[in-house]
Amino acid sequence: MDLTNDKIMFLDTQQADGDSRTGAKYPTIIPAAGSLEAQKTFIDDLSATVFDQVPLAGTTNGGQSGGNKRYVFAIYFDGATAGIPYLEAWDTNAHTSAFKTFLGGNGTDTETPANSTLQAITTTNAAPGAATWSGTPLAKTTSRISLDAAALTVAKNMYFNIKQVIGSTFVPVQDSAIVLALRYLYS
Amino acid sequence: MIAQGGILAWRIRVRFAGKLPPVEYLSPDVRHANPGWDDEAFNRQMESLEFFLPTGHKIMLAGMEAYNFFIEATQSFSRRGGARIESFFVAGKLPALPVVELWRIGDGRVTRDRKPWGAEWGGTATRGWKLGLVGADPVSALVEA
Repeated sequence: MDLTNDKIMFLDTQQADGDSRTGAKYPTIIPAAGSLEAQKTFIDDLSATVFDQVPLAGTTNGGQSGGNKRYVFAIYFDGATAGIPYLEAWDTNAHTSAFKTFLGGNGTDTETPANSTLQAITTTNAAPGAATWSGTPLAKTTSRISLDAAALTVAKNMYFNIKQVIGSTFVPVQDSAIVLALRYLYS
Repeated sequence: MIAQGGILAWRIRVRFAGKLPPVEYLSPDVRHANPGWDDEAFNRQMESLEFFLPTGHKIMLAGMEAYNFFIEATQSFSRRGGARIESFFVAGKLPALPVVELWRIGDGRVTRDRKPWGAEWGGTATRGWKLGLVGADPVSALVEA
């Protein structure tokens, strides 16, 4: 994944692997009741100009091949760290707030990290343990996942899986400023 | 005073226990260079640890059972992203107590806190602790450089 140009996108089942990124986009449809896991997960691949599907993302509640899978998304560290690396989500690259509705906020001035639609689980050392894993809502440092059990002593890959779950009361919105961020210590 | 702080700003100075040279080590500017905390240069018992600020002040820790220094950074998965330093931490474990004196330099502020040993950052442990020399009264202070 090109961190400079690519994005993660959660879309409807009508979107297909290899679709042109400049063609039609099919957003997740808000359910009439309850909640719905986004059916498909893609990397918006700028250099290849297509949507690359991540078929193992999410759970079996989605519309692809997610579930109790361990090696879905990987982050490689090329050396030791001084603390546990964390995966977080923020409104913008400023890393100051989580007001956006995608992250559980009211869109303007209220944050509710526990209601974030982005939910992730660490799989560095084991698979989730359930095909319908719940995950941890991602918003700020308040609600995040540790990517390993301890600070890294050597270079290694860390793994996680992520899904988006939309409730029936969700207000339609499009936002490309939201960022996933890795927080770590070095010395 | 301010001039000295300016010259030494963003550097770590460690004074080592014993009489074998070198008796101290001064790091490069840790904003732009690898602090090298895991390197051989820091791997001796320490008497004190100082971190110099651009204001002409320094954070001074002495008499601690162990010392640590680390930098918090973030890397966004974003086109506007890139790794960036969020804050610097200077830490000392109080002798015979499961308590860490933790200084944070970030967001234009210096804050002092006490955290449980083994849960000093984000509720979890950090690695890289160096052995200190205990005996004298512990010092944890922000003073003029």
